[in-house]
This record gives sequence, C-alpha cells and structure tokens, in this order.
Amino acid sequence: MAIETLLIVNKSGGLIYHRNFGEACEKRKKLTSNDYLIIASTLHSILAISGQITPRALKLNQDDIDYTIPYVPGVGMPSSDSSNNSKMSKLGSFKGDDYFKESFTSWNKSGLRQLSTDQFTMFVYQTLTGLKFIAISSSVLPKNNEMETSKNLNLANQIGDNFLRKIYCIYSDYVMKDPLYSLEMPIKSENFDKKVQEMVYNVQ
Amino acid sequence: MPQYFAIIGKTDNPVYEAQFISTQKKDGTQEFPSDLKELNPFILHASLDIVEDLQWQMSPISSEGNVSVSRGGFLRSKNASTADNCYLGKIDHFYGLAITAYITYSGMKFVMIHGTSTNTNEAIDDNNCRIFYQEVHELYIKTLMNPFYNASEPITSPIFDLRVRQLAKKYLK
Amino acid sequence: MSSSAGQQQIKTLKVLGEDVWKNKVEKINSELFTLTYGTIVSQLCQDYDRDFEKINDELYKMGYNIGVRIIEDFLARTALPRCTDFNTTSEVISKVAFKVFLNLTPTIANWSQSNDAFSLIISDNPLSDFVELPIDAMKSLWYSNVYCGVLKGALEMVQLDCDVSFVSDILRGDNQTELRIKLNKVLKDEIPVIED
Repeated sequence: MAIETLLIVNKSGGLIYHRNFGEACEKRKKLTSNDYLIIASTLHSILAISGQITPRALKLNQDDIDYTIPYVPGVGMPSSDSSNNSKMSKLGSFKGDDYFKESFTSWNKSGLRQLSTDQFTMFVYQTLTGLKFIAISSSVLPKNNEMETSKNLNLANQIGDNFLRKIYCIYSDYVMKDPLYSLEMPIKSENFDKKVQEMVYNVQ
Repeated sequence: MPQYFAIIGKTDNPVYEAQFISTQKKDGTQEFPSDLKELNPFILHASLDIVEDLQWQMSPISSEGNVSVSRGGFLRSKNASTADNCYLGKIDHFYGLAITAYITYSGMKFVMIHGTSTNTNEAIDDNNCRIFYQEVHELYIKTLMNPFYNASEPITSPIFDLRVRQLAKKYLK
Repeated sequence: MSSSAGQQQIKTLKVLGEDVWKNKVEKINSELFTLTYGTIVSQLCQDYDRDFEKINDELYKMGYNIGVRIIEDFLARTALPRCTDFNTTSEVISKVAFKVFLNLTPTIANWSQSNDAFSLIISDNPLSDFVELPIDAMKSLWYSNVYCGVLKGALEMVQLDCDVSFVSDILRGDNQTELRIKLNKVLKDEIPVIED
C-alpha cells in the first residue's frame, strides 16, 4: 500500500503540511500550492458535511457501532531483518520498538473514514483536537468479489488508521515539541519531514 | 562542651555559623567564656590555611601528630577505600580548644571549634564528629538544590539552622 | 453512570496510565527536571523584580503554551476517547495524564454540588523538591503555577473551557497542595463537526 500524498489540515481547515512521495511527485506536478490549499479546505468541508448527512438511524445507534481499530503490527516500521543488522533508530520520546501496540478507538465518527475511487484510496484520521491527517494511497481495491472487497476494505482501513496514528505520534514529537513552531501554522520542520518520509518508505 | 561551627566558602567568606551549647548541666562549661566567644571566628579563620594545606597533600602526615586520623584528608586518600575522605579530623588547636574540619568536593570548608571541658584531655569522638559533618554536608547539598538559594551566599533558612542544631544535639557532646 | 461501571472505568484508566508510563515513555532525570524548573522560577523572580503576581501570570502563560502542545502528545500516546462527563475527565487527568508525564496520581476531592468543579490534591510535587520559598514570596507566589496553565491549555484544546488555580500549597505552609479545576462550559461550537 504505497502512500502517495500526505496532508495535514488544522482545525480551521487550513493546510499545514503536504507532501507527495515517489511517483506522485511527478504525477501531481501541475498542482500549485494554491490548489492544495483549496483541496484541504474542500476536504475539511466535505468531512463536516458528511457528518451532517450521516443517516440519523446510524447516529442513534452509535453505541452499537464498533469504532475499535485493531493494532496492525509493523505498519511503517523497518522490516525485521533490516532492524537486526542496523540498530533500530529511536522513536523520539516513544519507548519500545513501535509507537503503540494496542487496539484503539477511532475519534472519527463522521461516517467518512475512507474514500475509494478507481484511481486511489483516501484515508482520514481525525484527532480530538480537530486535526485531520489525510493519506492518499495509490492502491485500488479489487472489485471482483464482494466478500473479498469488504474484507480488503476493512484491512486497508485498519492499516490506514494505524499508519496515520503513527504520523500523529511523530507530529506530537517533532512539531508540537518544537519551541519555534507556532500553532496552526504550516509545518517546516526538517526532522518531521525526515521521519515521515522514513515511515512512508517503510509502508511501501 | 560547647561548639562553634561554621561553613566557610571558597573565597573564605562565611556562609553559615552557629554555636551549640550543651544542655547537660553536669558539665561545668556549657558556654564559651564571653571573651573567647568573640575570638571564635578568628580562631577558625586562622586554621583555614591548614585546611587548604591538607586539601592538596598527597601523603598522610601522621608524624606531626596534629592530624588525629591519619587516613583523613582530601586528595591524599584518593586510593583509600573509605568513602569519607572529606573528613579531615582534628587539624589544629588553640589553647586547649580543638579544631576539626571537613572539606567538600567543591571546596566548601566546614570547621568547628570544640570548646574546653573540665577534662582538657578529652579526645574528640571522631566517629560521631564525622557523621555530624556528613549529615550537615547532605543538608548543605539540599540547600544548594533550592532554586532560591544562590551558591556562596549566607544561608538564612531557619529550617537549615534547625536541622543543623538537631544534628549537633544528636552527635556532639 | 452506575457506580460499578464507574469503578471499572477508573480501574481501566489506572492500568492504562501505569502501562503508558512504564512501557511507552522515555524518562529523564527528575533532579534535572526539578532544577530546571527551579532555575526558571528564580530567574523570573529576578527579571520581574520580585513582583510575584506577575510571576504567577508568567508561569501560567508558560504552562498554557505547554498545555496546548502536550495534549497532542497525550492523545497520540493514549488514544483515549472523548470523556462522557466531567467525572471521567477528572479521572483521566489524575490517573492517566499526571501519571504519564509526572508519575504522580493526585487525589480527586472536594467535588462541587453541581459537579462542575473538583480539586486535585498533589502530594510529593516533583516541581517543589528542595524548594524553600523566600519569606517575601510566601504570601503571593504560587511556585508550581505552571500546572494551572498546562491544564488550562490542554483542556481548552479538547474543548473544555475551565478555570484552573491553586488553592493552597505546602510550600506556603499550608497542610496540602490543592489545585482547583472548574468547568465553565463545553465549547460546543469548536467540537469538530465530524464527531458530532
């Protein structure tokens, strides 16, 4: 599941970070930074609206919906054989060999958590503070078998959420703890960039 | 017997001083004679040179006899197994008054005059004395950790004073 | 919330806090931390000419800036869902937040009648190890006021508008260190719409 693009949108809909990875750099060359800003605020609005149009019945039964996301081991981490050779790089202030190791509850209850098209799949991770992490992946879900599809869809979704929570962890370390970063502003941290790139590379 | 205790800073500036008076009545001289009392700071400062000499001495000088513990000293006991190389023991005397000293790693000098008792030959209890110094040292370190205390300024904290007096009561006769 | 379910929840939170603190957080030397904070406060005393009211404000502001940032770290680490009521919030603060960042579990006490304010009793405050307030500061300086700012900032980021302040402090000669948190309102407008 190659990640092509990563966007971070702040709570007021402003784009604070965007990166393309690998082939996507070439593919999205024509988009200007202004276009990205528009994409970000559009997504922000769509997410808000989707929350409104989620069927009422669904909302009433919200307690019945399981928002638990299982832990998928090793998403975005260096593969085990490479870690044997070279010493594992430390995960910032996170102890151990992975950022987290337990299943968790999704904060995103809008109904829009994943968007699948013929060209790409988009994953949305939203935090309690209103931040949105959006990843666009090149992988397209197979359409042959309905059962298979829904299973794959679930797995992809889980991997997406695991991946994005890890990006959130990196963000909390390298962006929030950078004393020179001012809140809600575009992220220019090189450390953050490097860590994100590493993780995206590991997901491929 | 009474004691006069002082902490002297690196530049020979006084940081703390206290006089301990024993509460036991059986000893006739619980307090320094008033004329001596005023001399106490001078006597202490006079012995500081000896402390500084001892500080850099590499080998024990037991022959002189004015060091009551031969393995005492600071750098001298680098290879000694005992951890209490800060305690210098009895370093000086002045008309029957004994003076003991202790030096911290940062060069703060703890010195004390042991007052005369009726029995002038009464030896200083080295063990208790050492423990007293060590515990005061610990208190001093805690004071240093207080963000409102500036190193080498006089210690004015009443709690420090109280604790030191408690220690004196416990370990010094 | 039935009380047994509440007890259960408190237990889970406690386990979570301990687990995160034990297995997921890199630690630093506590004396280094204590001394660093002490230096900041005593430097502020110098810079502000011992105007302790101002120093309190300054510490509060510093805390606020820490709070709005550290909340992200907290959420990334724990992934806790939104609290259903202020009761839960108090438990999360005490059993998870204080535990994870300071290895401390303040006691929750003195709930107000309307259940919108409570106190945290902090024993063994790591910030004030070794500290003895100067006499002139005894009456007006809240030495650990940075806590208030942190809590204010962090709670505000999860849309809880609270007043946070010290009521008493052992350093001032009181017999316990008490911090009061009062909920003003839940900032409904700012809750991300997609959560509803």
